Parts: sequence; C-alpha cells; structure tokens
Amino acid sequence: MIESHVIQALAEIVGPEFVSTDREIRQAHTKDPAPNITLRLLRKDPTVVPDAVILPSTTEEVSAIMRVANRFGLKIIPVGSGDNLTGLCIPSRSRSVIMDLRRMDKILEIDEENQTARFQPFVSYARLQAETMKRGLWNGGTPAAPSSNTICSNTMAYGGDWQTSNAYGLGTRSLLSMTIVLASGEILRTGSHGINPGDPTYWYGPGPDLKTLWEMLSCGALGVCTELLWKLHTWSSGDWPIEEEYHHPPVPKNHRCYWFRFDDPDVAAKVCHEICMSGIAIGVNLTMRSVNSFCGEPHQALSNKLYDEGYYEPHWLYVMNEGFSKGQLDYEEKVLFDIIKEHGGEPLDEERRRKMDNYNFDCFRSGDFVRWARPGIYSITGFGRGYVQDREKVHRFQQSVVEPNLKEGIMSANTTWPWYYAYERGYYWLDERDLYGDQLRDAAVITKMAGDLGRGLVDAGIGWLALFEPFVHWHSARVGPNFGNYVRAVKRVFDPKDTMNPDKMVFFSPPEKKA
Amino acid sequence: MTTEAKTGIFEQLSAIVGAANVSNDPAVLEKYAKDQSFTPARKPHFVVKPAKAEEIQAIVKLANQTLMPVVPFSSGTSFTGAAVPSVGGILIDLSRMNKILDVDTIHWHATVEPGVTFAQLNAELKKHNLRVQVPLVAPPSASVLGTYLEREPVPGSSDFVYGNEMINDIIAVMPNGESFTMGNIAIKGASHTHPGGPGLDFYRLLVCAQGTMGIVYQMNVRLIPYPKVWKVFFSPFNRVSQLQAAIKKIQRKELGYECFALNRFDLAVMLTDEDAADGKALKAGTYVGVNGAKPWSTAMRKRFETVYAALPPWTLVMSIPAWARRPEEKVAWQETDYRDLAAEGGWDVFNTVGSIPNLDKLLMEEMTSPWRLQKKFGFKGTSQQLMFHALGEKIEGIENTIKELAVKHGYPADHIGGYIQPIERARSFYCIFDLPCDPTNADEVVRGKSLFNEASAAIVDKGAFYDRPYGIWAELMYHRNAVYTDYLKKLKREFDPNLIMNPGKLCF
Repeated sequence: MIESHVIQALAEIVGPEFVSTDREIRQAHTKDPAPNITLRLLRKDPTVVPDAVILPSTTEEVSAIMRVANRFGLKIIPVGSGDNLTGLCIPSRSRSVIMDLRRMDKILEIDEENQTARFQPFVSYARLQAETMKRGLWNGGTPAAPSSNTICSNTMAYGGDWQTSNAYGLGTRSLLSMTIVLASGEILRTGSHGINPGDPTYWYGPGPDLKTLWEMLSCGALGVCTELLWKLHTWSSGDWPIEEEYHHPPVPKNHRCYWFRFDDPDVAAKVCHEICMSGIAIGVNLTMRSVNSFCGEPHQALSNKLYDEGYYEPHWLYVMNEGFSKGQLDYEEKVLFDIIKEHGGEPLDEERRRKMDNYNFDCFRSGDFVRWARPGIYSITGFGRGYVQDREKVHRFQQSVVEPNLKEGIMSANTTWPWYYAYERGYYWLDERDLYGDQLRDAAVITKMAGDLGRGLVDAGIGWLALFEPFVHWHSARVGPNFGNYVRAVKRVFDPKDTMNPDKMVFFSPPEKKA
Repeated sequence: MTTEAKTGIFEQLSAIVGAANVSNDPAVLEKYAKDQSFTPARKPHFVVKPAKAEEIQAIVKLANQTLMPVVPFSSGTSFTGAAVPSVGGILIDLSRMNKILDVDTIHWHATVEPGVTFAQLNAELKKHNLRVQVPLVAPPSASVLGTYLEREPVPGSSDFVYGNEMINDIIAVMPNGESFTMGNIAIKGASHTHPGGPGLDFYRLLVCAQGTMGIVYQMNVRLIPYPKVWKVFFSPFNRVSQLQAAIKKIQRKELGYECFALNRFDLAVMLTDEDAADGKALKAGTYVGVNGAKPWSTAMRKRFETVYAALPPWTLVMSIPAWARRPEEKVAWQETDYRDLAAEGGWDVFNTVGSIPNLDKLLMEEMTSPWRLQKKFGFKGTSQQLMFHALGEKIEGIENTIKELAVKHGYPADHIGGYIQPIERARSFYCIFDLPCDPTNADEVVRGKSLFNEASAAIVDKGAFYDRPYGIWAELMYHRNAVYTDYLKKLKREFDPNLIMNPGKLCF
C-alpha cells in the first residue's frame, strides 16, 4: 500500500491520468507465464501485484519519479513490451510501482547518412524496421520474439539475438549509446552521446565502457533506459514485408532462401560451419524437429499429428543470402551448393519447404514465436554459446537432462532438441534448448525441470548467452564467488537502496560472504 | 618513502618473482619513466617481471598491503603515456609472459599472454594460413593483448564482423588480487566464443582502461585467414569531404574488406625507402624508443620529397581479398561491382598512384604485417598523434581546424600525417593526425605542445570523440560528462578501494 500523498506526488509529475492504483489495472500488469511467476500466483503471493502503475512520457519525468521513489522507499519496475515470459517485470516486494514505458514510443531520428537511428524505449522491432526499410536501411533482424517486442527491453534482457546474426551479430553489437535514468534520478548518457547528446560517433567509453552493464541481463535493475542510439544496416529490398501475404510471404527482393535436410547431424554441423567460414549468407540456422513443427504449422493439433507422423525430420538447415548485386547472389549460391555437394544434405522438397515459408519470414520480422505460447504448455528456454560441432556436449546434455525427464514423463514428447543460429560468420553459435511441460504440473516438477536445464547446460560445458531466471541460480555456483561479488559491487554503485526492479536476474540474492 | 620501507618491498617482490626479475636500479627505472608523449616523466620505484598469473596476483596483493601503485606494461609501443607512472610505484613489465597458449585452426582463434607480439603470433599462425589483424600503425613488436585491449582499429575495421570485436575472452587480475575470468570460458569446459558474462558484461570495464581496473594476463582473439586471391585499388581525392562520401557509398554496398585512406604525408612516409642501417630496426619494431627515433638522413628526406610531390592529397585504399571458396570469382564480382559504383559516384579507380610500381604488393604487406609507418617518427625525431573518432562529414572541418592551428603555431601544415579508417560500414571514422616534432629543438617542442593541446581541445567542438582519453584528453572528455565520470569513479572505488591500479590515468 502506497500512501495517497505519494501517489499525489507521482501524479504531479505525469498528470493524474497516467498514474493508477486501480485494482484491475494493477492486476493487468501481473501476467507472465514463467514458471516462477506461476508458482507465486499459486501460492497467492500478494507482492506479485504492484501497488501502482505509472506511465511517464519523457526522460525528465522518469528522473522525477526516481527521486520520489527514493524519498518514499518505492520499488520501481520498468516495463517495455512486457512479453519476456520469464517474470522479469513482475514485482516481488511491497511498495512496488510498475513504470510502464508505452508512452515513450517515438523514433526521434533516422540518420541515413551515418546509418543510425535514435529512438525511445517503447519502439518495437516492427516499427523501426518499417520506418528504416523505406530508407534502404534496417536494424539487422528481429529476435526470437514477437515483432511487437521493444528493442530496448529485448536488448537489456537477452542481448537481442536474431536469425540474421551470421552477418550482424547479437543485437548489442548494434546498440551504440543509451540514455539511462539511474536510481538516484541522475541522467547517464554513454559514448559520444554523453559528450554531445544525440551524437552517434562512438559507442565505447570514454575509457572503460559503462554501457556494457546495461546491454544484457540488467533488466531494469540498474536504471531505466529512456533513449537508444542504434546502428542500422543496408537493406537491399525496399518496403517489406507485405501484410496481406502473411502466411506465404515472398522472399524479399535481392534475397534468396534455401532449405536443406540432413539425416546425419554431424554432416549438418559440418555444412553449417563451412558455410559460415566461407563468409556467405546473412542467416544460417539449423533447426530441429520440434522447432520445425511449431513454426511450420500454426494449428496445434495438426502440428502434433504431423510431428508424430515424422513429417518434420530431425535436421533442417535454413540459409538466407542477401546480395547487393546479381553477381553476389550467384556467387553465394554457387558456394553454398559446392558445400552441399561436398559434404551432403539435400534440398527440402517443395511441399515441406513451403510449409516453412512463414518461418522464412522470421529472419526479417518474427511472427512465429508467438505460436510457442500455446495453451497448456509452458517452456523453459536455455540459451548457450558454443560451436555447432559440439556433438559431445549435446550428447552429454541429452543424456543427463532430456532423457531422464522424458522417461519420468516430466517433459512432453516433443521436447525440442537444441537448435542453432550462426553468429558473426560462425565465430560462435547460439544453441537454444526449449523444454516444454504442462502448465498445471506441481511446483516440485517445475523446479526440477528448470534445475535440470540450468545445471545441464553448465555441466555440459556449453556456456550461456542469456542467463535469465532460473538458470542464474545454478550458474552462480559454477563460476565462483567473484561473479556474485562483482555483480553486487555494480548494484551497490548504481542502486544502493535496491530501488530498481529488485530480486531479478543476476541481482537475485542477498550479499554473500567474500571468498 | 623511507629506504627501509623500500628495502622491505624490494625483498618481498624478490620473493615473489625472484631477485633477477626485480629492479630498482635507476638506469633500469629510467627506461620506464617516459615515452614520446607529452606525459611528464616519472620513474617507478620498482620494475618487476612476473612470469605467471600467480605472481601478478601476489604483487597486486602486496601493493594493496603497502599501498604502492601498480602500473601494467606490455610492450611499451603505444606512446600515449598510459604506462608512464603518475606517482611511481611498482611497474609490472609483462614481457616475460610471452606464450601463445593455443591456436584453434577450426574456429580461428588464439589465446595469448601479454608479452606476445604481432610478429610472434603471425609467424606462428602463418603455418596454419591464419593471421591476427594488425593496426596499420602498430609496430611488429607491439603486444597483441595490449593493442586489442586499447581497441586500436585495424584496416579491416570497415567491415562489421571481422575487423571490430576481436576479443573472445579475457582473464585478469583484479585490483584486489583475485583472478577473474570474463566471457563464456568462465564456465568450465565451455568454448572461447564470446567475451560477455559472467552475468554482466564486465570485460568492457577493462577495455580502454589503461590498466586502471585490473591487469589482463590472458586473452583469446579472433583470427582470419590469409587471402588466396587479392586485389588492391587506389583512388586519388583532393578533399576529405569527397573521400568520406565515396567510402560511405562503398561500405553501404558492403564491398571489399580493408578500406582506408592516407594523406600525402603518411603515404609518402610509407613509400620512402629507409636508410639501409634502419631496415632491421624497423622490421623488428625497435626503430622508435622512449626518446623517439633517429632523425632521417638528408638523402632519405630527399627521397621523401620526390615521392611526396608525386602523390595526391588523399589516397583511398580499397582492398578486395578472398580467403574462402571460389576466390577468383569472389574478387571478380566485387571488382565489377566496385568499378560500377566508382563510375556512378565519379571517382577514379587505379592500380597505383604517383606511378609507384608494385604499390598493391606493398600495401598487402602493410595490411598483414605493417612496419613502414614507424618511419614517421624519424621525420623529425618524434611525432605527436591526435587519435579520435568522428562522423564522416565532420572530418574535413576537423582537418581544417588542425591545419589552421598549425599555421598559427608556426608549424608546417604540409607535414601533418593523416590516416582515416572507416569503422563498421562507415557509420563512423577513426582518424589519426600526426604532428612530427624535433625533440631536441626546445622552441619546436614548446610550439608543438601548444599546438597539440590547443588542437586537442578545438577538435572536440568540431565533432571529435576520444574513446581512449589519454593524457589531456581525459579532462576534455570527462569534464563534458559529469554523471558518467562520477559513476566511473564510484565503480573504481568499489573494485579498487585502495586506488592502487595505475593512479592518475583517465579520471582516477
């Protein structure tokens, strides 16, 4: 319960229409299918519901709100699109205020000359793409998330991974500078934007780079991002995509899309590696049976039927080439087929390839990932960073985590195998593992499943890409006490009163004794 | 400090690294007391040469107990004052830690210690047809780890993937003496795939930090292969504004790999044959010392004037290498596309400039194993460098400002070196403008220093950004961003409560 005079102080900042203590509005901000949130709801934890919701519209309003929060001991949970599905934007303490950033939705500037964009935190991937594609530019891709996802929160939570990362890397590679309102209410600007606001010249420093602390996993626990400067890449295809052809969209102009099937995963991995090391393609993605079934068929019952019939084979490779000339497209195609001829794999038949058209779409504007949130199923996702050839680690993981859980009936039968995205010309690969289970399982089962996945990824030596809940718990013990000590040192510096989104991600636990 | 206290520390350091690897001999200390920058000379109290991480840890712990500053030193080739002690202390010379720990020829990466030089690593990698990318201005003797830690751009930085984020992971001794692994390999058995983590992306707090946040003793770096087929093209430009516009057009089409421009002075320096006596030192990377370089002979200067006269004001170097499959075909379509683009944009594409024979071969060597730009230090004996990032359209204004100030300070504007390197598809540019100076001429030193200081400040207002704020640039940057500076200092106090790590640098 927050006192009325505090609510009044907040209302004076944003206007009374943009702050609310209404029960329905507050409850509307507690929706998240993450297992940890489901468990807290089942236990009737009252802190899941915030005490107030506030909608600022400017950096200065956010700053003023932080000052009020400091004075009256509020906890502030900033929310972008709020579709992270891992409980990051759900309160965990009393006196929590959800800071909903949906009014900060403006693209402030697109600098065509220097290929950069400046925008507010509620700008989605879809909107930035639509605006930039008109100008022959784009942000480089859409992550494994709905295209309504905001660039800001996706980057701050997961680093912004996408299917075109073979050419453009993780989203954080494109994040140039930020404006961040700190817990104190101070306004921090990074890189050259800090010297001359709006200047996209350089993204590091000066000197040690503070922006690094916000790029992944900070999740609103170190401050509220209110403005981003972003690198844009050349888009060779003009306006795209076409809404009316949603299910079978055309491949964009100057792009070519290829699908191959493999019987032997080692051959598939070898082909993936060779493609990347040949320096071709903007997207190289090796998908497994379950991903194909989810993305190839929107109807769940049909998807399950096709899955059981073996319609979707275990290893399908999806390659997207972009060329700024016919010479480039022809060259890349020749190289691709040289590799296939040399190592194996065959083009996917037309019927099944067409089934995946919608998935092709995901390279540019994700549509399929919304399908994953199907009724009665929840997923726990683990992201690893490794190499596509790491078969030994995959085996270790499969034996230690997937098989026992399948045997005990904890996971559903179409639990995915890992699937891979190439990053930065194959210097590393995202290795994603989704475990699907029944939403109504009891708490012990959910906890076991999450624990097995967290431990399994680390014990197999796979590494991590996004270390979100609940894996951070198992991770901490594996990488030593420095991890916790330095993370807490950072939190102490930027948020000494633990005002910002407490108990989240790497900032989850009370201080430990120094090792 | 009392003699007794100093003796105690000397003995403890000797116990850590062995007496042969500690020195407080003034003649030895003198070698570490300065570099070519205007940073005031200051001797350390001790120089130690550890051989392994545990020794660095013990030294840092001793420094905390005795409140002695520590200054990490790798190869001493950066000439920016970063490794010149501000208040004495223990200088940790990491040159004994010079092992290449592993080379992965499948995924193209190598793990190195701080003492590993570009020449050493490239000699090893050549066996596998791989190479480490070297900044055009780094001598062969420069430390790979030290150079990458300071983010000096390479000729391929115009590309988005290959020439930019080349650090895979680092391991550092933190200011409290603990060893901290950053990146994917923090998990046992995990691969060298990314520098981020554990948890937060800490590693960039140690990058461009001049040793103020920890001592990096191991780094995994990305490699690329040698080209199988390679063509290099040259285009003359009179003005930077036209040059940067052409570079933007090229990068927008994602053509070629290495792409950069040199002005008449820098290219002439590169092309002027050195005196036979200096060849060995140049190729070893020992041509430039703490007092500068041996000034050119009259004959060399004459050769320089001839080359200089034949060159255009700016030369764009556009390189099209192919290191993977169907290399001839790749170079062919890229050349076709590039020539079409140049014809459309209205600039010439030649195989050389100034009728210099085999210019492409010489540039290919410079793009893989550079050494020739060291010669600029001998033009007058030393050279001060203005190194900054700027947007393309602002570079000409910055160049003009530097030239105007040069004239004001009685400095020959024709003898200013210029190197322009697009980064990440030309969304921004890294620039180095060189101001050669005679260190033995007191009047010239005073004028050179005034010019350097005034130009450093003036170009910030014209759009220059010092991402690595050495010396006086620290004040120019940090005074303009109080919140950033304040929080950097707060973080520093958390990580280094005794403020022992290279004090006096940056805003610390």
